[in-house]
Amino acid sequence: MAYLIIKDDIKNLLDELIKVKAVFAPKKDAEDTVLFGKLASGAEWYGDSLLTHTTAKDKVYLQSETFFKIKKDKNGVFLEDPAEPAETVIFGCRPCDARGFDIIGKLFNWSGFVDEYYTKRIQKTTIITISCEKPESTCFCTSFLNGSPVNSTGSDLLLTPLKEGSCLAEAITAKGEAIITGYSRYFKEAGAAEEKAKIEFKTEAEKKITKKLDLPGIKQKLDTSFDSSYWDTAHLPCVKCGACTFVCPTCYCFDITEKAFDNINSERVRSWDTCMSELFTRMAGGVNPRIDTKKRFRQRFMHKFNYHVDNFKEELCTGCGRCIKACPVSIDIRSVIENV
Amino acid sequence: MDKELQDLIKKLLTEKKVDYAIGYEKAYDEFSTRPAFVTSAEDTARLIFNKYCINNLGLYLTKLKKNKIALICKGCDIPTVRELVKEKQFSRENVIVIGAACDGVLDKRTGKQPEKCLNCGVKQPKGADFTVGTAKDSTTARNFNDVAEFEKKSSKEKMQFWDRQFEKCIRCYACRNVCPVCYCPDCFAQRSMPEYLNKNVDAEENKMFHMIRMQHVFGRCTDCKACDTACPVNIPLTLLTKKLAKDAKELFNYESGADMDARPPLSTYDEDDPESGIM
Repeated sequence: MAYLIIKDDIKNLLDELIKVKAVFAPKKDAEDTVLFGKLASGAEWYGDSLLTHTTAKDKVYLQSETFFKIKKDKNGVFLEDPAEPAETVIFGCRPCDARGFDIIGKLFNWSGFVDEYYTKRIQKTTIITISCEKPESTCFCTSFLNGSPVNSTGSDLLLTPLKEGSCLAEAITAKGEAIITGYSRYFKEAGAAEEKAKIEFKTEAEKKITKKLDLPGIKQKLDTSFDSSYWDTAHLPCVKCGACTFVCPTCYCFDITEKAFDNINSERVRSWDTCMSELFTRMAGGVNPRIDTKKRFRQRFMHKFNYHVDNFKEELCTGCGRCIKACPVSIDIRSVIENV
Repeated sequence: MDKELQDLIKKLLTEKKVDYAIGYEKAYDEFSTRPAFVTSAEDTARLIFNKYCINNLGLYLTKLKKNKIALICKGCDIPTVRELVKEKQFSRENVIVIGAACDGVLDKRTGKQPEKCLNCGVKQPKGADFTVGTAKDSTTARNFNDVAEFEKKSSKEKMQFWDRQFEKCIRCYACRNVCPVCYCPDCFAQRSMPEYLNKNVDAEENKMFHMIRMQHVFGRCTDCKACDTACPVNIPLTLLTKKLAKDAKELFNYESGADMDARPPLSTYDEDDPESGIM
């Protein structure tokens, strides 16, 4: 069952949600950076940009997640668990970002192992996605299976802006359903005409995405190109920073470290790490299998479009194109894998 | 201008004067360029120069130390080459500097000219081995007005401003990795024994990283703004690098990458050195 919500009512809905949950939505700051920030009121939501500079990934899979704290008092040394995550709403995600949660969710629940930190957070998070009206030159979500500017994978509630100043609201999960039933005064039932308008919206938006990758073909090429001389030159412009991996909705690699405050009090923290960093593969004793910058560069593309496909039958990429935009030297992930 | 550039590089490559020519090529759309590494004369057709060529290619000199390189530089990139030669990271004979006349570049993130272009004294490159093109604009003298304005704020206001900036920082190290003078193979931020900087990403650790980096590049940073334009979350690092340049100038009368014979301020000592601190 689809519903309609008027665009002006979205801000009212946000105001209502803020009263009971932590609401994160795109917010613009003085330097024109648009990031997912915690809203104090619905008016702070900035809905005019296609993509935020970083993803909403860090609201569920924290950049630095404390596992436990180690403390000492007169009774001895004890461990303190972190606070339970709060009920959260991520509003204004894009379909590519939302699909990222689906992809890393599978990883954090891989072959029977459940990562409790990620799972606890995602269970308490409602993801409200807005379909993309104006995809940009860096977008390539349609290259993926079901990838589309209106794709609902990973979302709880999908809003699609229609021409008459209202949005079509479709609940994808029970959490999305709860938003519609809980705030039913803002939603009214949609008819067949609106559902048809969504199909038109989809066709129009998909037309704007001109780049389409032949991913099965690329996978086949990558299978045999580990030792290819292509990588000797392809990596040269790359400066090996981690901008691409940290703005990626699907990159999940991490490192676990201890942060000591003094001799006794410390905490164990999981922080994002990047395969572009030399430290990522450096082992105790100093041996590093990926000391060579070429190998680190190759790893990123091989993992996303080859190894991950072997393990999960899908690419570790949603086609959001953020890495292309964030790259200081404008390396285009699409042309890197196409030219192998 | 592209043709002139391509022909020059074709000639240098054919005559085997250089192994690599590092220039710019079109990236993912007409508003973006990326560094191009050309090794054969047949491959020069992809080289271009336009107002989207924002990267400082001097960065790659320390990565290709063993090669002879032709490097396309805007006027503001040439001090980087001098600084690296001065720091004995690269020998001047191994690099042919091709100066490209530039009427200012555009930041792909904002579509606007960065502050350095509005305030540029080297639109027509100085000190290049070859120069391509002629810049339209006359050049303006460099001023530090924006930094002077920022300095007037109270300590509390300054701290609030930087706290807000460093809260955004995701510690991707793009700023450090695009910095031509940040070439240490073992950066303090990557050291694990002892660990100078925790991997934990929060405003305090991030601030520590940026402050230490700024201390390390004082008197070496040529204020090329590579770090500022590389930042994926738009932290205005230009305010810090310009402050370094201003202090070097005002306290030690020194400009990085300008005079090959002048001693860098932190590698020399004079009884009359000011003691006001650098930050």
